[in-house]
Amino acid sequence: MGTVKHILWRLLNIVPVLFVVSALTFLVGRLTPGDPIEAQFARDHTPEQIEAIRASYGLNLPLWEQYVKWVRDLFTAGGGMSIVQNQPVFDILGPNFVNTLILTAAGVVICAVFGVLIGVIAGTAHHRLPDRLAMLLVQAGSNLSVYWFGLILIWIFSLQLGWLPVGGMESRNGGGLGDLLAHLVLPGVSAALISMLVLARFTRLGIIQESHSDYVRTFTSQGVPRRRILGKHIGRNILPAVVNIIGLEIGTLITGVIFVESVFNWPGIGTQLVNAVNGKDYTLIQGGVVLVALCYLLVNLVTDLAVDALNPRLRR
Amino acid sequence: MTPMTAPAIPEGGDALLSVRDLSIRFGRGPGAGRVVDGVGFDVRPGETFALVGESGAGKSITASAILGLLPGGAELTSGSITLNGQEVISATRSSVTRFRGSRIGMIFQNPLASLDPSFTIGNQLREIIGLHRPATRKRHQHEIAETWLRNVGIRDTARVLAAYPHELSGGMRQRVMIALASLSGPALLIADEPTTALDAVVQKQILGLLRRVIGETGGSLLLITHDFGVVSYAADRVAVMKDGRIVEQDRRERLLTAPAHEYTRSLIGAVPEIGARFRLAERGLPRRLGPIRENRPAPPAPAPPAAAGPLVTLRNVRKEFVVGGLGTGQRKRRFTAVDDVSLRIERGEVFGLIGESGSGKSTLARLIGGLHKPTSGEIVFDGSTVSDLPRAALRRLRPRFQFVFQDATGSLNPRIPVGEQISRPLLRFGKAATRAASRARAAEVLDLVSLPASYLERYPHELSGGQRQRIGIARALALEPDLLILDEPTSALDVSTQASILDLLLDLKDELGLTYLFIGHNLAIVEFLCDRIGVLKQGVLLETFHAAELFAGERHPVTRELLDAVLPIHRDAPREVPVGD
Repeated sequence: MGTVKHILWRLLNIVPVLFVVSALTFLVGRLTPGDPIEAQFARDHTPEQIEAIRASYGLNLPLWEQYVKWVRDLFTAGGGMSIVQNQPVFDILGPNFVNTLILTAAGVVICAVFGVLIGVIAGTAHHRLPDRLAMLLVQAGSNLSVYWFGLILIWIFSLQLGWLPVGGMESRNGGGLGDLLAHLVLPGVSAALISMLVLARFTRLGIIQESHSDYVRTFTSQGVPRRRILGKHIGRNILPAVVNIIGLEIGTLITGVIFVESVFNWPGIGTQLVNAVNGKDYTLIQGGVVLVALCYLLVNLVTDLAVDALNPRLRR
Repeated sequence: MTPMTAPAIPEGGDALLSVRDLSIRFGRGPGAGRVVDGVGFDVRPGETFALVGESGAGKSITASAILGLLPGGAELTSGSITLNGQEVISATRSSVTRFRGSRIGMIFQNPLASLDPSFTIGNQLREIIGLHRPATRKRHQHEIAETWLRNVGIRDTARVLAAYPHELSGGMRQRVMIALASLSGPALLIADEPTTALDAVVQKQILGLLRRVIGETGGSLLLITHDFGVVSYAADRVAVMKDGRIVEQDRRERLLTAPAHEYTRSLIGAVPEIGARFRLAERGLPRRLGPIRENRPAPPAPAPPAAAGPLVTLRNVRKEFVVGGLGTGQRKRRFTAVDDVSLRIERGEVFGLIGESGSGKSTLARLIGGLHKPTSGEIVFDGSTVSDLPRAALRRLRPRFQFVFQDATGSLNPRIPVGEQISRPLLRFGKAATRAASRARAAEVLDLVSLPASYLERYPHELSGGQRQRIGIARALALEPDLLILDEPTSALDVSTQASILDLLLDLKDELGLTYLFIGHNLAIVEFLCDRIGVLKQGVLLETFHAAELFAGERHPVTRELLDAVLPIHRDAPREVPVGD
């Protein structure tokens, strides 16, 4: 089977990329000034004691040995011990990472649904009022900052109208799926905003371009209704581009989510990573970056495979 | 609004399609252009009616108007179109959607893009069948699709039904388009330049097929074309359009034998025909296509070649391309584009290379022009072996062989004035010492291609297609090359423009003592222009011969096939009725 082999080959391709990413994060962390052990223990420990603590984390070893040890820890010891919190890194990040993924997923869904919707409305009404309005919205929205937009959403929908919770992930007394969804709306929309507008633009452009293509003329000349041409032919032909943009935008979304988390007080890894950077918690930073990079690579892989599968020219 | 020059429309009353006083304009306000101006004609049941004209004549837009498919910005200002007495469209209202597909079918110029690339042929045919016969079941739809593919001469129907458009050749796709447009048995089939994008051999098959399909469904064909060969082969009646008006319409035989209008005469005269150069020579006329003018200066006597011996020699040249391989997801394989070709091009001759698309003629030209390196074999240009030359030496040699490409628009930079595009290579290759010298030379070559020096400041989009190709030739000539490699330089041009470019090439060759390598797929043009002709098929040079020996008995079957594919203009004799393919 060529396809299975192809997928395995692409999976294998992730390994060298991950290696480069891990080596870079490792190096950048070590090369920036500041020392977490000094910062934490210098006040009440002797230099000898500090040296001993350093040795217990393996920080006295040559750089390459530290790297090898860390990579081994990634597979066997939960990403190594956090220098500040003294727990395996993945144990600390795990639950919050799931929360981040939930928020990202919500953002992706909002982005895909509303991005395509706005794009279709604008594209089918090319040069008419709905198109102009939608493009005005897109133009204005693209220039908003995520922070500001999030705060405005909170002010309108939570403080003034009282429809949705201000922040956090669940109400104090818990409340199941409905409660979670209510908490997801505002951060999801803020996270999705920019990507959604990018997607809307590409969808609109795709529809306009495909509308002028020869095959659309063929089917129009055969009396196929406009709605069906749009739904079947144009839809199918812009699908690969839409999937591609969504895939790319998931990457942007993950980065955006880290900011949104702090606005909405969402218990994700964003806050943790910011703290880890401040405390120079090498192992935690590295573990977090590797997790995010892995997500990124997997999303890219799935996108590529999906786009290939959607293109009849590449399928056989 | 009927123009005075409009010929009377023969009133029969039994017309299938009636177009009356049709006017279409582009844009609004004072800058609006009237692209179709009071056009009227009838298409009778069962006949093939050809609308002939050059680009910009308004023939395609007339055809689109019949189906209500006018491009954005175009507007019907007056006139009416009726089918069997029922109004299809008029300036005030349109009921065209009822007629689309079921009563009027349309076939477009570009078969490569006219089918949806994302669905199989079977899927697209079934969609149209389902639309026109909503009651048919899926299995039955499949059978109808299969029958129609067989009707248009496709034998392996199972493969084609399951194929995507990109898996079929251009000719196959045009067959599928014909099936798609005719399967509902429309009374009128409109074919807009159906064979312009196809090879000569395929063109003849497709035209034959169109006539057969019309014969079977009992419908009429409205054929839009710029090619009088096509008219002569396929049409019953003809209307000639110029600048949005019909200047003349008549039965085919009458129009081809004794054209009444000056414009028709000049169009027919511009078509290169097999044997024309020898007929001209017999009558003591120069070998030129354009109208014979009294004051036309006699072409200069051919300049003698500077030295004897071949200018280009190819010995066992072979070029392989590697397709696929690591990272492409496809298996790596080799593909031989040029296979063991040996030939000589003598100084001062015009060597023609002919073959169907994909036969390797452009690759061979690129090898000779040093744009590709051969996989094996050697290419000698004026004593130096181009194929082994180091980069710097090859660069010094480059000004001596120059290219003129088919796509004149694509080979000019749209953002730079054309003068700059001619003078830049002069500076780069050290042919001109100063900017002023290069400008002067650019003006000089512009004069050679009969364009005023004021054109130096123009941008490519301000020029017509023919003028752009003249610029392409001027740019190549500026470097004073010995060899001009002409890769289908006229196949994107109108007949009259093509005639003037071919005449220009002949004039320049005589004046400057150039050597040409001319690539084409139309044997009539190659025969008219070239001294010797080489025939390529699948990368193999089948034979080379002198143009005068084209009809000799020992010609290769492939050459005969190409000769057979030329559609001559039958002036007096009744047409051989093309049936089948």
